[in-house]
Amino acid sequence: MKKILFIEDEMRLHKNFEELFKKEDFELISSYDGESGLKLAEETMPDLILLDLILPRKNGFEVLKEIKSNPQLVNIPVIVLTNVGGVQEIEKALSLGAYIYLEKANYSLNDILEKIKETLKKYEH
Amino acid sequence: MRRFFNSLNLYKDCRKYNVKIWQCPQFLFLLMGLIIICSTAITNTVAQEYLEPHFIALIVLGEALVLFIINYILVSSFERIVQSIKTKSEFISIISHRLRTPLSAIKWQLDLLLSKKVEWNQEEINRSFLEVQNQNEKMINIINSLLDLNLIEDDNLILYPSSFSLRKVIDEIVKLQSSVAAKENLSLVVDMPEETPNVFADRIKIKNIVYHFIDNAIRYSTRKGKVTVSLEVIPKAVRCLVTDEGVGISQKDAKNIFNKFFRSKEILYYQTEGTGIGLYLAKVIIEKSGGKIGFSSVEGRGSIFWFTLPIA
Repeated sequence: MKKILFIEDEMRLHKNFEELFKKEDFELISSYDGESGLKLAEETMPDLILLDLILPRKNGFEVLKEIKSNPQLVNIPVIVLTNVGGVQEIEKALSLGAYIYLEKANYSLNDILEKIKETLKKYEH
Repeated sequence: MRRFFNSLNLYKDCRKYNVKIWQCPQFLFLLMGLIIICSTAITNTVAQEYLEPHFIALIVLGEALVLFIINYILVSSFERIVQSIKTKSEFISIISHRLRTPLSAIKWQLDLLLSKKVEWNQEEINRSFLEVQNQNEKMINIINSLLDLNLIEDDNLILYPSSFSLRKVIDEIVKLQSSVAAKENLSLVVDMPEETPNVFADRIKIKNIVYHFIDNAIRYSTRKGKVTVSLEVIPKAVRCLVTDEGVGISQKDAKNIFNKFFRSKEILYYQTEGTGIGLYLAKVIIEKSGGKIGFSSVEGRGSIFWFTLPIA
């Protein structure tokens, strides 16, 4: 079973993903702020991280930077999943090492599920 | 020809841009031109009468000083314009993010409702619809506050006061928000006397303010404690108080809390949602309705936000 860490401060979105993953071979690990997200990443070593950018305690960019500078976590793919849609933010996230950048409002839950599967497949090899 | 004369009507232009005449670049530019022409003519006349170079130098220096001051005013009005463009563009980016949040929540909730993969019972389906309703309400609130903000800026906000029961308004909002509070691990408690006199104000606008107060109390509570909504009758008015046990407001931020676009850096550490216009609108509307608004807070222990409205 693949472990997916979801760092997102909106509690209901965790519920959405819980439903979405019910019939998939994924385990959802939930974190509601940047600081605990990083801690959980080290503790659970997930196969993929879904990361929001606007987060309490530590924003998504800081979390991404720390993930990518931690030798233990550097190889875990990070999908940025956010409502922030500026060109600058997209470039910054990608240059910090995000694998893909998805704007929440533009993707259905199924699209996101497909992106997660594609990413996991790519990182298997 | 008329167009040419119209273009000379600076007062109209400055009014259109909503700036005072002393901050209006067109006016300052014209004034500067007139001063240069007049001062050159005066210097010329004076120089023909008095031949002492010291005296003439003094006049030229005086003119330069006046021009320097006008230039300074011009540059600072330009700076203000640039600052306002920057604030507006930051605001647009915050607002689009804020609108996208309930939009994507609705989108995903509908995805699940329509999905064949999810097997929900009636209760779960109802809960999901309630979530959609909640998010929809949130979006309506954001748009309404934006429209109100625009009306206030143009000094065009019109209130439609009527006599209504504040108690009933609170009940309606509490009903809508209690599931949100429960999700955040909070209890939403109501403490109101059996009977309260009706108040006289714009019901829809007041309903929005109550919603905003309770929504803030929930969001700044960091998932613990309780939020209490109470109502009390004071001489000639009814007071509504929303008490939380959340993060509170620092003394440094207290003086800015009702300012437009203000968002506390410390608050952002706990809570990322917000546009910085809700409390500003609340203050304008409550004061325009003949009431008062205020808060008291202890950092780290919670806040009490209150407003009063005149009895009908």
